[in-house]
Amino acid sequence: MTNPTEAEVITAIREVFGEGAAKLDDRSGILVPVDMWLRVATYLCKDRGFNYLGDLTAIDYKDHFEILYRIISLEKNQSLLIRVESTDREHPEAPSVITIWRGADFMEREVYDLMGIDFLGRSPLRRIFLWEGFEGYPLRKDFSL
Amino acid sequence: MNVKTEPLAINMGPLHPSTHGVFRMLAVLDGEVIVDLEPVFGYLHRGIEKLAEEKTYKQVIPLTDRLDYVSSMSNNLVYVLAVEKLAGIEVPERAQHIRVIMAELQRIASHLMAIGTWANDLGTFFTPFMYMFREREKIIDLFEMVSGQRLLYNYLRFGGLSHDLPDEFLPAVRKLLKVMPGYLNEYEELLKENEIVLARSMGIGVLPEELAINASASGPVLRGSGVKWDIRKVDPYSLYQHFDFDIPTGITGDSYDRYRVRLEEIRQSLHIIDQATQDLPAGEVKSKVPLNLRPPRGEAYSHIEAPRGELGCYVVSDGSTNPYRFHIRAPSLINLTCLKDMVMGLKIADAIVTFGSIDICMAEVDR
Amino acid sequence: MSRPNFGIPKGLLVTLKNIIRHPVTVQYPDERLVISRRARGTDIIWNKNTCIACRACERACPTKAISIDVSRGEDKKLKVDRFQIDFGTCIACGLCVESCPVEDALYMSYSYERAVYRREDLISSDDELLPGEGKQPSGYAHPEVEKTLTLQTLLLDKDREDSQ
Repeated sequence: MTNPTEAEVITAIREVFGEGAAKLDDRSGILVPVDMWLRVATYLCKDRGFNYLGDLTAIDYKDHFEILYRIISLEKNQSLLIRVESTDREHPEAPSVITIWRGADFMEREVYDLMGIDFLGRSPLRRIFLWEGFEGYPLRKDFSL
Repeated sequence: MNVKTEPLAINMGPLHPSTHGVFRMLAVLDGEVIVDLEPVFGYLHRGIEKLAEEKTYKQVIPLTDRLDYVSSMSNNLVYVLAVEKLAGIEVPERAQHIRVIMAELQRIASHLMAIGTWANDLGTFFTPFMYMFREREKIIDLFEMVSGQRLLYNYLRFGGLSHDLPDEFLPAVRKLLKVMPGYLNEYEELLKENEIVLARSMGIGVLPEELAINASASGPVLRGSGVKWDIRKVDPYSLYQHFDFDIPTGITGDSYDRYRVRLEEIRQSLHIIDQATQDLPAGEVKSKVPLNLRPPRGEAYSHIEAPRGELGCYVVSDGSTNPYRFHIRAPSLINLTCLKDMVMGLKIADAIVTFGSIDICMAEVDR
Repeated sequence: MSRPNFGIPKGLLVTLKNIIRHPVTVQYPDERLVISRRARGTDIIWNKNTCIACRACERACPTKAISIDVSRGEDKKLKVDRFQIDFGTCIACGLCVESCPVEDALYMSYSYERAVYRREDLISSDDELLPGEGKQPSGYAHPEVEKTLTLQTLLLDKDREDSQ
């Protein structure tokens, strides 16, 4: 599996959506602003051939949440890491990509359940592992065991 | 005559005998035809991802055993690969070979169980299941020999393995390789042309290729739908690039195709083990790793082709002795995404067959 | 599918062949198989005399099943006051035995039967952990013990290589 040169994808995204739509992250992957993510995702899936969502998860970095999308192009055998940041501590939100990749369904529910990030634009999220009425989101760093 | 019926919601589970664990299906039926289905799970949720944040890197290895307890070796492998990538640890060649042998033996054991329970779901009351368990037992014996336990092996370590193979291991594996093809033929004779099996599984639970890709299906479910996608080929790890094997695929993506893919994968696994045992290099099985591992700040993602699909592990380090974030991409959970689409319009008994053919392990779904 | 209506008789033939095959099960507890020489059994054996009270096993335990009280004796040497293992939380992962820096202080046991009436009976401390009658150490992380144990019985041995 090869990574397409991230710079090349960033240039392509910027050509379509403008300068602020993509930024190279200093760890790895591409940082996409949360309000442009849905349009960028549609472009990546339909026009760039990233038709398979490998993994979706989120990390709590205390001052912000980071949602990671690992998208794969089965034809070209390429994988790409997209980072989307959500800064609102109380009500973190991100657009749902379920209309683009059906596989995001349970992964988004899992992130909502354990990390408390709301995905907009899909049927209302319910807890998937924990019971209804459970207080708090266990994978957040301020939730102690 | 067009008879109208009231839709009837029925609740199967959380411990329906054929649901492979504490799984619940909420099905809405029109007569006997399923018009809506919602899988409900979480009964086995132990919060492994959160627990791992409180443990040292080494202590997480026994935790990963408990993700998918039918294929512990694969879970061990994906986690140690992620940490090795994170900390930049080299693995000796002998250990890499043994890892391949273990992963493939695990795939055989897991697929035998998958086919056996699936045949059980079809209504073949325990006959094929017991035959396949007999062969699985032989593999479990080998795992017991190397690791000391039969189910939760805790065998792989960062930079290699916990122990080298015992002397009696290789002759036993060679013998297994000799007798296994005969047993596989036996299973084929038992099920492959059986008219009842064909009637119950062909055209049942069809997953079209586009939906399989779009719904992130992986492993035999994806390959059963005709997609030639195997992590061992497309992103080789642990020296898989040096071994010769084929990727079996199905055509229509029904339950029968998934069964055929699994059976063929067992043959390919035997072929890989054969190559790996033949040129097994001598030498160390463990490289030097600090006792209290502190990987540098950063993150690593590793993914492997586990028996159930693409198993991924994502580890974030903040430079301390325990992981900052530990995430598992669970193939069992994600393969269930399209269960509803697969069983729409089928009879309730077919839903069980379809569910069995996806082959999930509830401990991995819930984590 | 080339020969319709042959599938079921063919399958029954396999069943018939298996009826006359030698059984693979044994009648436990009258007959017992020999377990792995590296078995991680249901007990942990602790050698008080060689233990250096470094607490490596306590730190290695993922479930915090081991608790040790250590004090410094009059001769400035560390000694163990209390060594306690709760086998109710022990998951038999073997990390404690692996982490032990002394060669003959900690062993997994070779036993596999441990049923008690009360949970409190699963907590063993000090003298209950010492080697003794019926406490065979296993070869896990101890190759010198492994060599002395009998070979594990394998189901594979019941297969004849030419039988298939």
